[in-house]
Amino acid sequence: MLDLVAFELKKVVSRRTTLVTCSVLFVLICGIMTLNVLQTKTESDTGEVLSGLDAISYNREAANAHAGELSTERIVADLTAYRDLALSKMDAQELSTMSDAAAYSLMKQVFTPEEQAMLTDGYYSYLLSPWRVAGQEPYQTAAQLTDEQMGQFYETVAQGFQETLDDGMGGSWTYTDAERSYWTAMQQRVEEPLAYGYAGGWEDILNCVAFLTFAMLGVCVALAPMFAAEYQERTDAVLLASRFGRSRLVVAEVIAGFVFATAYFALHAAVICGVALIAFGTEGPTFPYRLCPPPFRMASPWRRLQASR
Amino acid sequence: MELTIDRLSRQFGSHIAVDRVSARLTPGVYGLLGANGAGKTTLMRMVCGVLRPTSGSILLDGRDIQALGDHYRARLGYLPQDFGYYPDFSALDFMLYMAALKGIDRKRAKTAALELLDLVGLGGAARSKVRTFSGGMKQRLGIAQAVLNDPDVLVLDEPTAGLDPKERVRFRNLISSFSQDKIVVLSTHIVSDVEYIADEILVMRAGAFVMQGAPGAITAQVEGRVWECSVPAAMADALAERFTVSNVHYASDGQAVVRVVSDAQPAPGARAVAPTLEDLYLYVFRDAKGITDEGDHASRNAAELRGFVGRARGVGRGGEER
Repeated sequence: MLDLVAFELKKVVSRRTTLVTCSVLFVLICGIMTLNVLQTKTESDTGEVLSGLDAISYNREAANAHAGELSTERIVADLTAYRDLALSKMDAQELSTMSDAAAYSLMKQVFTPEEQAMLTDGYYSYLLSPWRVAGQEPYQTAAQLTDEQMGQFYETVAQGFQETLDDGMGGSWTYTDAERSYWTAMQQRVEEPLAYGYAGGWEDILNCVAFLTFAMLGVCVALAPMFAAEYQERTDAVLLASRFGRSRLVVAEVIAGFVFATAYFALHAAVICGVALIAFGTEGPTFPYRLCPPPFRMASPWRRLQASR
Repeated sequence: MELTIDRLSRQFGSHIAVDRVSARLTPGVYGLLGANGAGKTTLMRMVCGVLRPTSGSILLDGRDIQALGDHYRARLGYLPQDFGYYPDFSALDFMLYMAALKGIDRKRAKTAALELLDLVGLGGAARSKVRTFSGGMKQRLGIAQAVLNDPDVLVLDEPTAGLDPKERVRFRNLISSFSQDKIVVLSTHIVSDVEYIADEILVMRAGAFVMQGAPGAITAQVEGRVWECSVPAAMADALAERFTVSNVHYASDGQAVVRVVSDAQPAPGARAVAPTLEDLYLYVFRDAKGITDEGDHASRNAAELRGFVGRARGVGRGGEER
């Protein structure tokens, strides 16, 4: 049986369409992941635009500068400092009526590069996410927050979560009681206080996982002619007249198909995970999974490592 | 060992490709002669279990081959008419693949494969890709894979197609050496392939056996129907239009020696000569329309022939003796 499986794999791999398609797709995924690294851009606190590994390194340092548990006291202190900075040179009333583009322009005009770096830091966007309104800059949100609201970060997350369940994905459906209970239980399993830190590698894996579609395409092209090839290449009569041509051969072909699909898929997954973790780092596998928009982002108890698996 | 074909039929829509064929095959070489469309390949595919019969059965030692399944196919070797291969396999790869399909032990498989490749003259090309082979080389590979499992029943459908004369002689010798204690069924429309090695000839036309017997015995059926005459070269063409001419030899003196297969003397001075198997073939298939149009015309001729044979030997339609 092993011999048959080996020969069936050889048939799959040696087919020209398989070789060409799978090779092209593999080169494509390597290229995409390389560009993913090279095209990473960020602006430093001196206004310099960084790209590639320099940008990744800068982002890592920026995130690690705020690493730690997000206790309520810390959240209040950090948000208060952020709000105070924003309102030191901008008016709260004006910010509430401006568009985000206008607010951004104003911020760029009145603040120093170091202050702009703090106002655009992703850490504060994360903290302000339970209160964010679409089309607002973080400092616009912060300007409207009271001290009392800042102290209710986790309560606001839970409330927003329930409102999302009530909304039913923009009214497209109604969650059943069982579904609500399930999602609510999931949200309640999230350990508090949350931990914050750098997890760029795992984040990148989750962002790029959709590219595994290319692997599926390669598998489809490789395996589609697997059974039809016997008739195409006119070996069917010889095979059907052989001892195991109707029994073991079929099983061997199915096994070979699974082996090829798994191996090729794993190859693509290895490229995606390998490039992401090597370039962006392996830190943060135990941080909470943050794929969904708020408040679902806070609801999932999955950790990044689990999610990326 | 006995392979029994019992009133086997195969129908494709309204077309009857094999029409209630019966035969008992014991160890030996059987040459299945017939024109294109006679039903040889269909019959062979049913014997190999590739095609299910519409009716009738095939028994090996009294047991239906459908019931025997893998056990029957373990004792079978088959070279189909249109032998396919995997272009990117080497000859050795293909042989090892077939060995695995035939259930041959891995250790024995490589040795047997190399020996057979050497035997069919592909020893030097064992590791070459099959797609680089000539037609004759591919056919030899097909023969090698057919005998790989030392089958008790060997079915070869036009095995010498694409082989040059030297290769065909080699093939005949190979089959002869192989056929000890085995049933070898060899279909062809090249008479010389079977003339010297077949123990029995089965002549098939329009899906039925019209003649069956040892080469000498069935050739004797056309005794007195094969003529040779010397005619002016210009007359040779006229004879060819009216009679079945098996050979024309133009001499330097303007004459032509014509060999004719005909019930009646074709020309004054024509003398009867000893018939060959080729003459028999031409006599049986002398109606060209019957070969290409398997309709009533062919059936009538087939019935006439069976009647002719029946009167001569007392044998019925399916070959059963009365």
